[in-house]
Amino acid sequence: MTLKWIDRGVALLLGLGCTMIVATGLMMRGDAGVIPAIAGSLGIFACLGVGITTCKRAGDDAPPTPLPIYRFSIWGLCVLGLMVLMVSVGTIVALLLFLLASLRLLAGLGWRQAISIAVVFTALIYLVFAQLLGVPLPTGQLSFT
Amino acid sequence: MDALLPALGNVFLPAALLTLLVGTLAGVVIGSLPGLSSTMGVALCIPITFNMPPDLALILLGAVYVSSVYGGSVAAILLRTPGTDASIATTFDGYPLAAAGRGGEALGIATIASLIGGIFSVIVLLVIAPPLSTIALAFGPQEYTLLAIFGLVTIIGVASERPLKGMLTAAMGLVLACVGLDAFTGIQRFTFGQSELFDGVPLLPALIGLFSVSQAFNLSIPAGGGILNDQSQPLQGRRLPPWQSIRRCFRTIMRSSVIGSIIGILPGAGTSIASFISYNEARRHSATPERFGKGEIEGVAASESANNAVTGGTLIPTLTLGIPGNAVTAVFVGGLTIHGMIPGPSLFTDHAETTYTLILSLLLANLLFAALGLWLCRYLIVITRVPGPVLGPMILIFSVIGTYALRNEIFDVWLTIAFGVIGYFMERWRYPAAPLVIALILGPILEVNFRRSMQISHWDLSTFFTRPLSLALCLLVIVALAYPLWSRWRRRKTALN
Repeated sequence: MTLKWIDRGVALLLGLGCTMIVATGLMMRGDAGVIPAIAGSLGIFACLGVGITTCKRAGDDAPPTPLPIYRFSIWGLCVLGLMVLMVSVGTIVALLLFLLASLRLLAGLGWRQAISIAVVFTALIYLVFAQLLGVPLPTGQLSFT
Repeated sequence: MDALLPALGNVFLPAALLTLLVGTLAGVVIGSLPGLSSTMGVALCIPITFNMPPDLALILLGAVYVSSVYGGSVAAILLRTPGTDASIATTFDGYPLAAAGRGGEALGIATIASLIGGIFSVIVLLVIAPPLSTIALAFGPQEYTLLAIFGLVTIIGVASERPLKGMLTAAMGLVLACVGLDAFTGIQRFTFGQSELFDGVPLLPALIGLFSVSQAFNLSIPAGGGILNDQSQPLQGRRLPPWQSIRRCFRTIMRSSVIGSIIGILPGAGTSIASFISYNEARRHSATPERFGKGEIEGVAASESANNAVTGGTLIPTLTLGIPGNAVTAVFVGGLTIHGMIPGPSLFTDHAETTYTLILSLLLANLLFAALGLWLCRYLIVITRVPGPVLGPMILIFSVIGTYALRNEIFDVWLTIAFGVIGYFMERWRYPAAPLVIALILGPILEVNFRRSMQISHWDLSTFFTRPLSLALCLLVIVALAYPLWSRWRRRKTALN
């Protein structure tokens, strides 16, 4: 998909959103809706401008570099896993598993290298944040942090 | 001023120097970690100071404050992850310089600019604090409204290549700034019943998401990617940036130091506004404005000197009038009060020796972080050689932990990830993220002060033109709006000739 079509889609979607914001702003009690209405109107103007530009623009329409779907999905799953594990089993275990997975699957490191980096980095995070700075970390079932 | 000499003696005591060193080192580390702000750094140190003598306690807090603002530049330049919101503008040119193998030069200029900005503001604090603070008190809601508009005008500079897309993302930022309970009427705006959004969209998770998490995505997803465009490039890792670079940036550094110090004095304005305005001014005065955003060393110098110049500026109303200029100085006031020092004019009479010890220690802290920074920069640039898929997950972890540390809310972490995904696609589709952040920062300042002005004047817009200070700011806004158009017209005319 070219950038022109992406821009048109974005302008249409955000334009509709901004129209709804202006309508909501105008219905708000007192002067609470003044700035949302102004911001929404600014957004509508910008969407119109972006939309019109896509009709007459000749350059700057190179398609963005193709998204590597496989790597994007792996990375997305790793991040999702990190988030879920952080609150279910605890931060330290989640960080260790997240690092191990991403270093193995995305960076292509060997097991030994991946495990060493994951363990050292997780220990560093634990020492700096939990011990030195006293920052609370999300705890899960394994609640040592 | 009689207290100045004894204060000078206090600063050079071994215990004071050791405290200064520890505070500076801690500040640089805290500032460079995304999510750990200067405010958090100073707040984390307050319990440590409970049993310390007031002199040493204030030295520690002051050193952490100034060096954490500088620390933000390290991650901003090398990883495009601003450690603090003050360093957002540093990423615009700092990261492209690091990607081109000039990370050492960028770090060096950032250090020199931070040093000059910091020292300049401390001198301002020392010499002209009282008269300047009275000018700041003359700022009413009208002036703050126009100051926020002036900040928004800088978006034109930041998104000059795609002004419409910049305007669109700025509008989205303003809309996001409206989320939460309305401060005047108490009604919920765009919260969708989420209690976590009652206080609005938290700035730091949005900032960390748009800049740090999206960068983690950028580094992790492409196979074999990394920060350096060309891994075979030799790394420029000298201790001092070349003399030509320093000389070229000197005017920008001085101009930004003045801007930073003035903005610092205004309560509520903050370091990020100072660095954005200075960045825009540097671009406006540059002979090569088209190079800004692509790796212009002056851009780094402008942002860094301004944000460090704010540190002394914010302490002016804090120490002389007891009005904290921003969140850090509000925490600082807490630190002063714990040690029995009530901020205000009495600080310069009843506790003059301790107050001057603090001010002089800020001078030393600036020198210390500069020495530390120049020494470290040749080692730190090695980060740019680390493969992207190894560095990316680490940046994500820092971002996640840093965000959680802010309010201990897992909702904030989800928000950061969401902003990261948005930021990643914005970059792919060439929508600038900076205008969104600028609008998100300035939105609340603009709204509160605009509505205050309107309530005071009974919706008479002429209130913005009838006060001398607001009229001057109005003219400044017009000049800032008209200048890019005029300069484009002039360039076109020159090209035709």
